[in-house]
Amino acid sequence: MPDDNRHDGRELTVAEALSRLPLETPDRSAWPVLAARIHATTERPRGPRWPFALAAAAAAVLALALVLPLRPAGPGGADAAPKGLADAAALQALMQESAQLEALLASISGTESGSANALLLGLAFEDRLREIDAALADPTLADDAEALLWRRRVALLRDYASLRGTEQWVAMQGGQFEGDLVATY
Amino acid sequence: MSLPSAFAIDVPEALLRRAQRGEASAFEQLYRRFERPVFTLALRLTGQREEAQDVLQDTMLKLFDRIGEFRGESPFWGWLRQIAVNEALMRLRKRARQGEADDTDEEALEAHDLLLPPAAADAALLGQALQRLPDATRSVLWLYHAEGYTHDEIAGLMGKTASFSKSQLARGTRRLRELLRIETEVHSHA
Repeated sequence: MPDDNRHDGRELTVAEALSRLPLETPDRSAWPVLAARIHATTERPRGPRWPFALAAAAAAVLALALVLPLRPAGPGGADAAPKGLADAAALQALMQESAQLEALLASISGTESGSANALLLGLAFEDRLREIDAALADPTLADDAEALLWRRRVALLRDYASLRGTEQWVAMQGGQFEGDLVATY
Repeated sequence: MSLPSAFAIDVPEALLRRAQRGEASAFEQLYRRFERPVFTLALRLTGQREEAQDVLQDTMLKLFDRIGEFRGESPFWGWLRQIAVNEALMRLRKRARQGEADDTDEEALEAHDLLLPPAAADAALLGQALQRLPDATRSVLWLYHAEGYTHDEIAGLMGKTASFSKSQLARGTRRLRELLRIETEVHSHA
């Protein structure tokens, strides 16, 4: 503690004295303002209405994919793995498509529009992908459940790749993703 | 000679790349790491907590806006510190308090002038003494001794000459010695 040394009775250089001063803490965090700025949409010229609608549709599809819970498939339900999907060849095809989609997404990374909504969707996508990957890492996973998870992984990657493609297209037209998209999500 | 600045915090390249990609979590980590160094620097230069709060906020917003411009040719902390210094000095210029500082040449400091009395080890007393210096004088003192800027660099930042910086440093150091000597005498009699 700086105060502990004041009875040493020795003189200090200015640099030494100043360096001993403790760091000050602001009375309130500036993070909420910065976070709001990050999440706010960067104002850009509005593009034509129909590409916005297209982007909204793409985002809505992705949003649905993101909010669908990871739950066991019910018999005959929409989530049920098609018969034979547990087959090794079918599983291999899913894994291959998953890898291709990831490569595609990696190739277009760094070209984000910068809109906060796209950023939020990107973060949600990553969270969702992590959930699926965590579930896939379960060594006791049954074959059917594994196939279903891979199907979901591929569907999520497809949706996100589609969204990113649309996002780039809209940005090229001078449009942007708007708050409504995230509201959907 | 100055000691390492409190700003001198190394940041992993991966974290910077994530921030440059716009990841909010990466920005939050950068904010947490540099919140106090930015606020402290701003407080030392402006002398006012509320103004330092504004400098903190504007510095971080500029970080968000400009991080894509950071090329990694110098340490990230130095780049961010430059933004913070500019923000704080801009506010001082707006306040026009720099005019309060005396521009006349100050006699150069002797070696014994460079040492501060023992009261300088008391953070509260030193903080109070700094507060009593004119803004420009305190800013030069802090930039030179705590942040390690040269007189030429300070002159460039403040739009003044190097001799102005040297004069302010000499004047500020002498004034600080006086203020702290009084405190030392008061406490030794108490």
